[in-house]
Amino acid sequence: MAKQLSVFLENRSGRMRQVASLLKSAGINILSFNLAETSDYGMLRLMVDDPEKGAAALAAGGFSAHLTDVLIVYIPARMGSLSELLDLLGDTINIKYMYPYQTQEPNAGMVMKVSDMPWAEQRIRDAGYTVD
Amino acid sequence: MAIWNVSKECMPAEDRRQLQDARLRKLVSRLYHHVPFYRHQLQELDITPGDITSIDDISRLPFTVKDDLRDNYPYGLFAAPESEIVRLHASSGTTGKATVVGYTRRDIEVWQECVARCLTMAGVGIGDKVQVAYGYGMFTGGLGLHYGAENLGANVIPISAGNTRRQLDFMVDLGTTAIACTPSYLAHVMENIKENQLEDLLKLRVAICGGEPWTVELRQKIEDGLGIELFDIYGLSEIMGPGVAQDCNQHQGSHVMDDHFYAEIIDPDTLEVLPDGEVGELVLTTLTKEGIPLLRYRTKDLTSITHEACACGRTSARISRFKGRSDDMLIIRGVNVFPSQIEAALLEISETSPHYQILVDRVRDYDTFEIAVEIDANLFSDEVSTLEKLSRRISETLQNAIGLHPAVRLVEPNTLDRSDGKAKRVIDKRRLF
Repeated sequence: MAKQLSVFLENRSGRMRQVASLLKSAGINILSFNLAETSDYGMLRLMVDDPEKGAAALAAGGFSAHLTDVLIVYIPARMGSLSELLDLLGDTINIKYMYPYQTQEPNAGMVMKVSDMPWAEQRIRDAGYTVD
Repeated sequence: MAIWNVSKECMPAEDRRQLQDARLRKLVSRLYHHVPFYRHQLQELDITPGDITSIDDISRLPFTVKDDLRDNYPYGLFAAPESEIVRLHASSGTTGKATVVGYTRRDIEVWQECVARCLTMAGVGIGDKVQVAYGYGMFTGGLGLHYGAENLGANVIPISAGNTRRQLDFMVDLGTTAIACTPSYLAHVMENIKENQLEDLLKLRVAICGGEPWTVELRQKIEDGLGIELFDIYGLSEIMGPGVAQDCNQHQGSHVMDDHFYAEIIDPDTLEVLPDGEVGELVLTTLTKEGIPLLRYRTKDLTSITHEACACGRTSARISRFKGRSDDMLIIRGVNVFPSQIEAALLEISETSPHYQILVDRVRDYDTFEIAVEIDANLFSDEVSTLEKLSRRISETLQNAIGLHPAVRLVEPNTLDRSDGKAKRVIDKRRLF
């Protein structure tokens, strides 16, 4: 399983910029991210090259930043592959969220958090996908 | 203007004192013999009932505080046997536990007498249609006004609080001439009247408002906006409920029904009794109460008192507009809220109490109630649905604890004000005093 950097952000102008600035100063490279928004706050989910260091840098900057276990699944970069992956998982588990990760030709990366992580990881691996 | 009970309300000062002397003697004797809590307190002070001969001796008697009611919950301070109690009411306490009060048949009679006096002071009489828009239930507002208005002989419309559209329909259709509710609710009703252009269809003349502090400005705004006269009724469940005091048409302070409730003003720090005109904490003694009589109950409300006769003809003591409170209790939409209750409720949610801040404001004359909670390691989740559930749970837990539904706002850590390192728990932006 991979580590995602999860950051609670109030809906205030400048907060996103401060996150980017803190990570830049700490020499952290952002590989991918996703921002979920509500009326009062947002949840920023980041994949970075050094999650522990990133979390420490953001916490030192006053942010509520925590590490979360996620799966990175590589699926073929072609039409229909996402549907096949989801068919494999079926309807018994719930996908909390997912967003695209870096592409590594001929595959496309996908960050996922699901209700039963060990089960999902095993099942995806057994089907021959690469999982981080 | 009419006076409900001239022989009591306009009593010569000396007669009033004699009545208070006699009633205090009886009260102390009753408490000494029927309430162990008071007997022990009096014995510790080396006082026996015979030592108390006049109302001037009251300063020798012990104070009662809200915690005493809580500590003796539910019936410990009752002075009448269960068989004589005909009604129970409750209000919230400092730690979330309710305080319970009981009334005998005689207590209910006194209560409806006092409320009838208040309504008469406001020019309400037989044939008037009184819409009681206070909440009915454990809160004393609804039933207190209801019984008083019935006793007076008015037409009571027991609509209770809320459902503004229905309030307006009845107000128009039934020809309501007087409404009793919290001032902030009346402001809300007024807005709806204006939005629906119902002004010309109303027969409303007066409003009896209380249950929460309000400003002179709000009073003026409603009086001008609706062309009616507002009266400020005061009361608290520990003492009785609404009807302990109210202003007359002179609006020069509120007349205390001091043949039943003796009022003193004390310095909240030294506990010394203050002379007329000086601001301090209002202390009330229930001279005639049977169910749960209280000696020198500290209301925490800050005011001053005068014993000068009023131009209206009444001779009772008058208290001025409230200047604030000597504790941290908030009154939001007429509901008493202690910050400690909120803290206790939040402890149920997280193993440690999170950093939070209560924000109270008044928007369009209606109280807003928001609680900001810092997201710390205990509450953190990377899933928005979990955070939304957390907000809802906080809101529901507080609703259960205090009876009010707050808007919950989750905020980043260390963003709430900690002046002097100490968390500032309450920000009340309303200017009420």
